Amino acid sequence: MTWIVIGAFGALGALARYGVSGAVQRLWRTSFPFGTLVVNLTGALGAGLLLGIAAGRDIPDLVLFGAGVGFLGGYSTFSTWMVETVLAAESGGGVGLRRAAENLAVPLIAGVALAGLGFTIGQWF
Amino acid sequence: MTNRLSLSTSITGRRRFAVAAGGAVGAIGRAAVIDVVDATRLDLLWSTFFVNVLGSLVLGYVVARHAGRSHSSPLLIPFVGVGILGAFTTFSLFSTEVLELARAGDWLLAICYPAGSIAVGFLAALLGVRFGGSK
Repeated sequence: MTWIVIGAFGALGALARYGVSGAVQRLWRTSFPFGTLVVNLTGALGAGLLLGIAAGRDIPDLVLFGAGVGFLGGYSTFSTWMVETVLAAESGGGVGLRRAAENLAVPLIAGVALAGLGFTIGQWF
Repeated sequence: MTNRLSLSTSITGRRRFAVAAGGAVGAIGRAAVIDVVDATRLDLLWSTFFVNVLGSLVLGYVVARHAGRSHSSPLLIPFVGVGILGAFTTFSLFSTEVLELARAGDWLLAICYPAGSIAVGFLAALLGVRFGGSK
């Protein structure tokens, strides 16, 4: 049962990522991968929120697995982030390396900060 | 660069279906890794580290080998790259893990875990891209 829920929510998460990332990339036509950035940062905020809501409460495992491992896991992505960074680094010279470094640092710092924000908000509920 | 990942091309129903089907496979695959790591009593950080590094390696290979190539199925990147590998790897749990380490005051791991994940993940993706791009 858990597996079916995780699979179904994983499918929804991946679809949402495909939609959001594509929409952001069309809106913001630059070589910087804003689509993946927006997806991952909203995913980190959502995961922090879920953790904050679950803290000190008895939330069924099925809900946590479905929303956390399934939807948010399917929605956010680490592999695309890494490959886009490699492609940026290989796009040439010092500019490429600077872009790659930015693309590593910005999501990492902002991701943890947004997860913290989500956690704090989640605890209010 | 995102064009190579086919993230900004027109979205057809078949592509969406491929992304969703791949997303289900990837999420279940990650849940299976979590189960295995849980059974070995290793810290669950290792399951996140493992899926993220393996996923980066394979995605690098798949993108270098198949993205924008006429000999490849147009559904391959949406299914394997965006769907399976996108869902198999995770950024949201990665972020909350770092947050939890910092909140617990485990500063050494709060710095080493993300630094290690990014360094090894980047090298894995680079290796995959090089390997997939060679004849």
